[in-house]
Parts: sequence; structure tokens; C-alpha cells
Amino acid sequence: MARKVNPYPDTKVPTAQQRHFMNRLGCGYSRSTFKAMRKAGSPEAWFEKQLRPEKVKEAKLARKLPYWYGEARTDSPVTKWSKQAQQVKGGWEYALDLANYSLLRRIHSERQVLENLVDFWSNHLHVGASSDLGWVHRWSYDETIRRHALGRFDEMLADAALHPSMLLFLDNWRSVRGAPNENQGRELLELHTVGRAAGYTEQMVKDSAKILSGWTVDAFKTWDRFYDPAKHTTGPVQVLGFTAGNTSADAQETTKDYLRYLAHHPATAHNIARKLAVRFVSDTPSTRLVNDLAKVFRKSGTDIKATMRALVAHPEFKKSKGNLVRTPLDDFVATARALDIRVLKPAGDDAFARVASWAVQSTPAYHWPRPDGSPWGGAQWTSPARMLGSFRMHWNLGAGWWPSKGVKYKDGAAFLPEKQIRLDAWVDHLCREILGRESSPRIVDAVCTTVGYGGGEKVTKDHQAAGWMFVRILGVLLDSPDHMHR
Amino acid sequence: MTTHRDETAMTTTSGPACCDELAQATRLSRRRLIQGMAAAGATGVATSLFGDAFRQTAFAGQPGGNVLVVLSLRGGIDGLGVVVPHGDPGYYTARPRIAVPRESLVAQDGFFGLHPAMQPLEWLWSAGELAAVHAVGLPVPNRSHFSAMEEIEDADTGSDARRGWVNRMIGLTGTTDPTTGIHLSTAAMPTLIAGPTPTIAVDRVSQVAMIGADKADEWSRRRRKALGTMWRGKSALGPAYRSAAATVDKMAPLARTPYTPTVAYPTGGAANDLSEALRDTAQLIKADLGTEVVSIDYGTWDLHSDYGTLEWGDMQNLIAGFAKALDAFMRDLGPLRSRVTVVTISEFGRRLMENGNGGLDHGWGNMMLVAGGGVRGGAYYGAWPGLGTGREADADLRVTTDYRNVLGEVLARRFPDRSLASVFPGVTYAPRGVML
Repeated sequence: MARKVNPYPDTKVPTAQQRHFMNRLGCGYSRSTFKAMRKAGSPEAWFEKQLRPEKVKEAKLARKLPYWYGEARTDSPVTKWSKQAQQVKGGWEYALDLANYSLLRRIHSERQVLENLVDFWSNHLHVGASSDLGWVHRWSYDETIRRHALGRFDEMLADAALHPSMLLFLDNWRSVRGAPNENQGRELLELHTVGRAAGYTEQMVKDSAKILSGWTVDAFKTWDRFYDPAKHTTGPVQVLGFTAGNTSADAQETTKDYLRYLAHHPATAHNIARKLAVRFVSDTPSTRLVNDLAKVFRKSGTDIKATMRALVAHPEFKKSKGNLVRTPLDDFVATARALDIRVLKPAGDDAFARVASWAVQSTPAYHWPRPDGSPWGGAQWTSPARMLGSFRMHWNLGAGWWPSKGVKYKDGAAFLPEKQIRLDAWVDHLCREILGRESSPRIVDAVCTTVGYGGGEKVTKDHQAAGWMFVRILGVLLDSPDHMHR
Repeated sequence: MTTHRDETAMTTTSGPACCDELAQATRLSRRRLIQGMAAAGATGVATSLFGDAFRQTAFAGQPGGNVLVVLSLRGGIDGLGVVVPHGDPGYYTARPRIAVPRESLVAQDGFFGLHPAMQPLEWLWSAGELAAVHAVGLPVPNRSHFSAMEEIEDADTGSDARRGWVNRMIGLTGTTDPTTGIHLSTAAMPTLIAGPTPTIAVDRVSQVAMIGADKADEWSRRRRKALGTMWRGKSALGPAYRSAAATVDKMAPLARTPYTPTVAYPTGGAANDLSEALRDTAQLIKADLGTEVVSIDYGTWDLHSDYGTLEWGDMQNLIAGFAKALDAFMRDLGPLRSRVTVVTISEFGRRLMENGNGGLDHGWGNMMLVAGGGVRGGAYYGAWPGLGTGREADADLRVTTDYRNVLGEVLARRFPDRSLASVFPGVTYAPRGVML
């Protein structure tokens, strides 16, 4: 039986375009971001404002977040290492702090585009948060990415590639004269800049490692990064169009020239343009879109803002609404935002702010086990196991089952706009509040099937639909294509 | 081969530590991480790391068929300490503190013997249902856990596609049934099983359930109907929903049914995790859903230190756990063993010579154990390359048998309809005669 929509217009609902901007460019629709967007005048104006995050007034709660992770933020690498050795706090716990902190920022920050791009660049220039040695510097690496996420790629690359966290993660610190470790030299080309399609040779990989050799870390002691000429391998190098005599044991300037060369290489522009297009537009972006973005990226001197502006202004961006798959992490953040969950200052080890990453039902943020960073493409996240895991996550958050401490959930009664309301009107209100869209006959039908009441059923706070059944209603809204795509 | 120690970065969540300095700390971390996850009750179902493709028609695996159980002994097990070459004096020279004495070995022949903690499996050896192949591994040494695991499990160096050999193997029949290849014991899907053919990774079988629809009651029925309504039509995740629903329909009754094995499995200690996974595997096999491959991770074998002797240490403890759990599984299967072949694999073996911490650093050649149906057991296979004098600091056990030829032989005999050239491209098939 076809059900009818019973509109509840008192609850304002974003336009498709507004929702598109929140879901793609931000970390998901929420009532507060919707409000900010209306205040800005248009989605485009909101986006333009978001590109200068320092001008966006940060949410009070988001400003407090760094203080909830004091140890991870302020312990020196020496302290971190010794706490791990003494079994006071393990590297994996520091790593989870960063993952949890990142999730909470995405949920609560008003600087939504920045948070999204921090995620993007952190995965592009991936350093595993719990990697064997890199974890001791991983918080500071995150700050580096944050600083450049809306800046210039050439500057971000220079700081990231030579950051101690990266040097530790990809073994460059182990390089010795005459036998440089090729790990970072290779990934710098393959993952971080030009990509394999650029056609570099194995000899170029070796030369890349040669150039990077000398950049090391005083591991197990001060953990400071330093340049050790005794570890640098000299001799002429050639990588694609970059050549250097590399005669001096001090090749710091050569390294910087090399990184600048790679950042501005056309293949890098193409690589990054494609990644941005996959993240923000389509699993299979058109050649035209990629070329257009690559051109802006290069012409602007690797300016990320300019590239993002071009992406948002591109007709393909506007046309691409709604059929990208949310990753499990995106899904978690979007769910917390949709349900208007309020995370509280953590009081114990089981508080939301301490265990949020386990609730994701997938790999925690920045814990991707390989150097290539967590993938974006929809096909990567379409396994049956992912569906069951995300459903479980929706219910845990929807019902407030877990995490249950250090968080404020809204129950069914809190979602009632009036003391008494028809079920079909309530469904429309819930869709507007939680999904940022009006209800459809399909969703009204599915909710009625789920709870076993007709659309005319009168719901009050004491009705079981607003009580134990409420999570089953949320299950219809959240375990759905409407919520799990962006 | 390279002699410098090139230990590529990897994470504590994906495997054990790399460096001597770290071995203990991060091994602990991994344990605690896993315990933390278990305590949080959040390890339920993993996300496939790789692309899953779906076809419109689902082809299920065939009931009554053969089953392959792959035990991944992660961290690099010391093959020389499990299948001990007591006839090679180099072994005893290289390991003055930690060598396994000849007189303690079980299932001895004139040259090899098994670690005494393998005793629970001696009956299988005697019955001709357990064999060992030595000096196996990658054709070229790779001492990085991370990239060696990738290489071993992808097993197709010519292709960029992230697809494991198990995924290729089960995909050859055109199956789209995610229960054809199942990874148990960790929520993370390892490379060997990941790829375009749908597979599933869960800690425990009991966790394959759709929340809110996991009972045979009216509310579950209503929810499934509502979800069917919501997911009707075309969307990027539509096929994933339908596949999840199919998986649950197939496995949920099993997941809900308490399983009573015919023997008691060991609980607690080093045997516990493997025991649980194998118990679930036995349940799956008896339920006969058409599962062809079960993959299980066991142990953190990266023993740079705390390797120990027969009296103490991680090595004897882990081997004992392994042997007790596998013993229970094989007994529990009973006559069904004729359909089930178990094979062990590890990313690399360890250095011949013990290090300053009485442990072993990363090496090259290793052993593989093959047990169960179709095995020509009770014998040691392979070509022994010799261990040198045992005084060479960087010496490894050389590889004389490509690990893909051991797996290939198992596949050729147990799944003769699968093209080896498709599962292991570029390998010249040279069986060692391990299988009947």
C-alpha cells in the first residue's frame, strides 16, 4: 500500500544544493551547519567563507577538544617513548587519541571544509598513527598537515616529507651512506607526487633515495630530526627532469629543490587532481574534470584553495549529487552529526572521547595498515561486512547503547516537535532533522512496516514508537541509501 | 641478496613489531590493542579493504566439496625451531642457547624432527595425515613484514591489482556467495582473501548478524521488509546491501545455533584464539554451506627476544597453543577430515643465528605444515640447502621451494578444476609430492 507523505513544514529543510555542499565539502549534514549555511546566504558563500577557517568562528566545544587529549598533544617524543617502555601508555593508545580527536573535530568543528581536507591530505601523505616508530611524532605531523591543508601543496610536501614522523614511518632515518633505504624515495614518487604513470625507472627510485639520505632522526634518544652528512650518499642524480651533481655531503638544499620540482611536476598535478575529483565528485571522474583541475593546480603554483574553488565551480560537481559511498568513518561522523550527538569531556577510559574509534566498526582514522592511505573510491567500501558493521554502528549511536559514557544522546521524546503528532508527520520531521530532506512515500511506508502502525497513529512521548521502537525507526532512516551515500 | 636489514614500516595493528628494540613493547601493544577491541565489543565485522564486485546472479559454493584452511602464522615463524634439522650441525652451532635438543624431538627421521610441543599432533603424523615442507618461501628474500606479507598473499607480482590468491582461486568458479571464502579470527581482512570476489572477515561466526533483524521473530521480519523497501532500486551500495542480506540469510541460523563440538577445545592461554577460530571453522564445515576456504591468523611469531627454550619463552608456548588447538580441530572433524586440508604459511623465516637477546631476527626460508585430507603425511619434503657452518651472522635458510608450489600442489589435488596459472601467474608448477 502506497503511503502518503504528510509534510511537517515547520522544520526547515536544506535545498538539495545546500545538502550537497554539506555532505561533500563538509563532514556531513547537521542542523548547525545548515544554520551557518543559511546565515552565509548561499552554499557558495558558505564554502568561500570556509576556505578561510581562521575567519570561521569555532564552536565552543571544538575549541576545548585539544585539551581533552593533553598527553598526546603535549608529551614530548621522549616522554611518549618512555611511557610506552614503562607500560604506562602505549603507542597504540597515543595513536587512538589522535584518531578519536580527529573524529570529534569532524563531528563538532564549524570549520567543516578544513576538517574534510585534513582527512584528505592525511591520507594522501599517509603516516600510520600507530606505526612502529613514527607514532612518537604523529601528533605534530597532524598539526603540519592542518597548517597546510588549505594552503599550498609544495609547502605541505616539503614539511611533510622531511617531518620526523614520515622519516621514521618510511625508514629514511635508517639510510646510511652508500646504501640508502629506498622506502621513502619510492613512496615519495609513487604515492605522494608523480605516481607510477610518470614512468620513472628503478634507477630513479635509487636516486630519489640518494637525495633523501642524510635526513634522519635521533631515534631512541632525543627523537629530534637532524641532518647527518655522514649518512648522505653523494654522486650525480637524475629523477625525471630533475638533475643534480650532488657532490656535497650536505644536500639539504638539493632535497628542497627536488621536493619543489616534484610538487610542481605535471604528473603530480594530474595525480592530485584525480584524487580530489574522486573524493569530491565521482568514482570515475571525467578526463575533462581532471585536466581542468590539474591545470588550475599547476597555474596557481599548487594552491589548494584555487583548486578547490575550481572543483566546486565545475559543472560536474553540481551534477554529481548523492551517489558517492560514505566510507565507514565518514558514516560514523555523519551519523553523530545527524543525530545531534554531543560529546562531553571524558571522565574515564570508557568515555565516548576515548573509545569513539571502536564504535566506527572499521579501521580507525589514520590507522590504515599500508603506506597508501585509506582509499576513497566507493568500490572499496561495498562489502557485505561493511554494511553489517555500519548498521551496528547506526544502532549503537541511535539507541545510545555504546559508547554510553561521556556523551549526550537525544532520545525519541527529544525528537518530538509537539506533544502529540501523527506518525507520518513525525517521520517527515525526523527526515528533515536527521537526513536533511523531506520524507518520501517509500520511507513512510518502511517506517510503518517497521513499527506496525498506520500513518495516522498519534505519537506522544509515552508512545512506544518514541520509546523502545525509536531505534527501529532510526534504523530505517540511517541504514538506508539516503544516509549511506553522500 | 641484500644483507642490510631493510625493515619497512608497518603498524602494530597489522602485525608485530620490526625491530629488536620494539619487539617486546609492540608485541604487548598488539595484544592489548586486540584485547581493547574485544573488550569494547566492537570487532564485529570488518570492512573489506578492497573492491568487491557483484553480479546480479549469485552462485553459491558447492556443498560436500573440499575445504582449504589457511593458517597465517604472522610475524615470521621460526621454521627451523618447529621442523628442526637435527642432522645439520650448523643448526646447533648457530643457536647455542635456544636450539631444540635432538633427543627431545618428536616424529624424528634421520635428519628432521618436530619441536616437542608439537606432540599433540604426533598421531596425525603417524597416521600419515601431517607433513612438513622445508626451505620454502619467496623466491627472493624480503625482510619487511609488511611488504613480504603483501607479496606472499597477493602472489601475483605482475599485476597492480590488490587481489589475494584465495580471492582469485574462489573467483574462478564465478561464485558471488561471500561465504565461499571466510576469514576468521580478526576483523581485518587480510590481503590473501581480499579482492573483487565477495568474501567476509569476522572475528567469530556468531557476529555475522544484522542488528535489529537477528532473531526469528516478527520484528526482524518487519525490519527486513522495511530495508528491502528502502534499498529497492539502483544505488552505489544497493548490491552491497543485497549481498549482506544474502550472507546473513545463509549464516545467521548457524551464528545463532550453539555449536557442540565432539571434543573439548583448549581454552585460555596461547591456544585460545586459534581454538575459537578452529571451533567456528569446524562448525562451518559441518554446516556444509559450500565454504571453500577458511583463513585464520594465529600468533605473533616475531620473536626477536623471549624466544626461550623448551622450559620457558614464547616459542614453546605458541607452538603448544598451535598444536593443542589443531589437535582438537582435527579430532572434532572426525571422518570429515578427508575433505579438509590445513596449510600453514608465514611471511618469512628467521635468521639462522640467534641474536644478542637470545632471539632471532628476520630471515628468509621457512617451513610449511600440511595436514588433513589428501596429504601424503608422515614425511618431510623439500630440498635441503644446508646451513653452512652456522657462524655466519647474516645467514638465512635458503629457499629451494617456492611457497606457491606447495599451495599450488594442494590446489591442484584438492581443487583440480582451478587453473593454477590463474591463481599463481608466472609460476612453473613443480610439485614436491606432498599430496596424494
